[in-house]
Amino acid sequence: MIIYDMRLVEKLQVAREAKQWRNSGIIPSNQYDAIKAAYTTPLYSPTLFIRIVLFVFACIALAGVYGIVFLIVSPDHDTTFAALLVVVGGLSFFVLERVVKTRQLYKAGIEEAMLYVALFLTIAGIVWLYLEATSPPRTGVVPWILALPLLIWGAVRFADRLVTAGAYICALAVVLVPLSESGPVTRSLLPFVAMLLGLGSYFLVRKYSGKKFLEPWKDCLFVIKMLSLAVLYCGGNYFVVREGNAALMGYEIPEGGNIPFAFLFYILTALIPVAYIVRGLMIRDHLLLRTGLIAAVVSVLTFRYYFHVVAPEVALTIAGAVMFLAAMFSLRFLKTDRNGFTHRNILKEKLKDLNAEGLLISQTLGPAPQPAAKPPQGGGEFGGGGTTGSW
Amino acid sequence: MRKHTLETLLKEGLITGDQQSFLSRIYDKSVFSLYYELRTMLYFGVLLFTAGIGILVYRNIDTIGHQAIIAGLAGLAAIAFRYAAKRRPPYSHRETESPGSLYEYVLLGACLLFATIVGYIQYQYGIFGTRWELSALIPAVVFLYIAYAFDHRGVLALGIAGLASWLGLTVSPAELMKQGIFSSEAVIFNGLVFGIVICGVAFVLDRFGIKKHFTFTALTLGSNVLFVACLAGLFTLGMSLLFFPLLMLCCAGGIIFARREQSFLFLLLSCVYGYIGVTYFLSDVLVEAFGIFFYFIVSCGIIIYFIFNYKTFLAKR
Repeated sequence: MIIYDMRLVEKLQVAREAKQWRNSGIIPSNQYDAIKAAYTTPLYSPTLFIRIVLFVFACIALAGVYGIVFLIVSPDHDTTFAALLVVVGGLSFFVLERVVKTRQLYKAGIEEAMLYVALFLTIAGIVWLYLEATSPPRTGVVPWILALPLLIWGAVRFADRLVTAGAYICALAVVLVPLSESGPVTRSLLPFVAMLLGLGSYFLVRKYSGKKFLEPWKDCLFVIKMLSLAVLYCGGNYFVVREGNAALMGYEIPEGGNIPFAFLFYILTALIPVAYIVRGLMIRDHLLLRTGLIAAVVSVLTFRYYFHVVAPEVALTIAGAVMFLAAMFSLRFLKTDRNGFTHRNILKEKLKDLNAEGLLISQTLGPAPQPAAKPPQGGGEFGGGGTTGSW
Repeated sequence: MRKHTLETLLKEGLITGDQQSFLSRIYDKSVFSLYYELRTMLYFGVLLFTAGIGILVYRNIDTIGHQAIIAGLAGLAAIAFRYAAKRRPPYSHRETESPGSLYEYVLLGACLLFATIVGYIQYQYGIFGTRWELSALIPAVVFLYIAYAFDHRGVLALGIAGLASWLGLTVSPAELMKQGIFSSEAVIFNGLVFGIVICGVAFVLDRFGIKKHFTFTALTLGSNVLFVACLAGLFTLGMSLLFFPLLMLCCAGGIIFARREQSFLFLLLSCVYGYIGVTYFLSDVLVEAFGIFFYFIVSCGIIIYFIFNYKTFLAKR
């Protein structure tokens, strides 16, 4: 099913994992070199940044190729154009397969560029043909249904995480879009259905995650778990529900106005992050913990619409202090390891080093640039993403 | 990592029994590290707190409370600096072992509070008179000193960002595009000078072995500004004879550095910025669609071919 030779991929993954062991000081360099030599593969699988370079330039090159094709054919009619898209997209898949196999590519940026472009063109073409065929053109759920099989195929064949995310969202849309277009009563069920779907997909994936035959797709399954938790949270988040409702109905709810069941969504917005974190600690799951932390921050930011409870900037300050103090006390508590929990960095994770952190700090906590004229508030504002007085 | 993989490695004699048991304890989560989660909490704590304080200070500027707020912040900053100073490792040209995540974020928070207070003092009391930009410069210089004295990369990044802000620049590529930096000649030259100075100082210090772990951060921030300034000069000021060779020089430097340090972020930056520059340079020649598409194919094909087939060129010797 999957295009890659998994025996080779597994060897590659062992070598990569061993590199993290070396970086964390678990094995010495000479041992890592030995492992690397024993687990060498002919696969071409470059590091992240080279992958990005290859991806970017492959996309530009593909734009050139497809551009020339379309120039040569010069379709005049819309339907012909759409049909051409499908044909060209379809052919691209064959080329993609050949390139990946002959060049022994594995996540090399090039095949991802080709895959995304091929998927995009083919799906766009099919959807366009559908829109041409129905008059007046109806959107709604059908385009999503049309897109889904190809996305699933792309995700499964290439174990591509981005395509998996796309397929998951598409699948959600297939259920949620008809619901959103129905009567007001069923429409109000939208958040709850979304939450159920998120919950359901999370547990479904959890159940099958350990199975051996799904091993090649474990990263994709992780993405689905992550998105499930996000969907579950968003379905209960007050801001999302309020604004989503307004967008669907086509009007703005005035500031301070409420939606039905507002109280329920306040509770969910506050409690879901807590649930994630508590459960994450119980079953020792990094995904739950980190999603919970991010959800907690988003919940605090959602406070903008709770301003009848407390002013947003006060909420920010208090939340920041609470989070910081919680971390501080946890560090104190974990000075010695407790029941296996430790604060030490046992196994370094890829891409999460101090260099990246420093850059993140400069981007998010750094000052806003000084405009030429005198700024209305104090110049050189650091912190909090260069926030201004108006919020 | 499946259990039997570790067992296989043990059997092949590639890892020892101790390592195997340690690793399996990590993978079955009997040992569970909260390192990244705690650091994330510290980071978000500082982010949210400073955001809130920033707004609070200026919203309450003329009320009775504001003196109290500033005094409170100053007190907090003082406590934080004292905490950090007590745990500060002695100065070394090399990277020192961090006294811990809490130390790092307390120091970061203290610096941000300091900057807020300076900004406020200038706003309220006009201590710098009309030279309000000093309220950006002073904290930046202080940060740079603290970064070296306390060996903190994050504060270094803030310091460099502060210097940029003083010059009317920003170190965020996204912001650079948004701000319409391209318009002013002064800003572009500021950018060039800033970029060259930061990168230059970074190289020199690196050469002398002074805090080599800072080099990457400084170079990333400096080179981004430099690249964008070159492009901006190329786009808006004409002067191709100056900016284009300068851009190419930076790209070459970036690629050489990437190869030397095996840090391919700089390969990415050099390739992308360089390509934008070259394309712009040739844009007078490439007018019709066919030519443009053909150019895309050939140029990108060359780049991909080069990277793909010359791994050895890019790899360490």
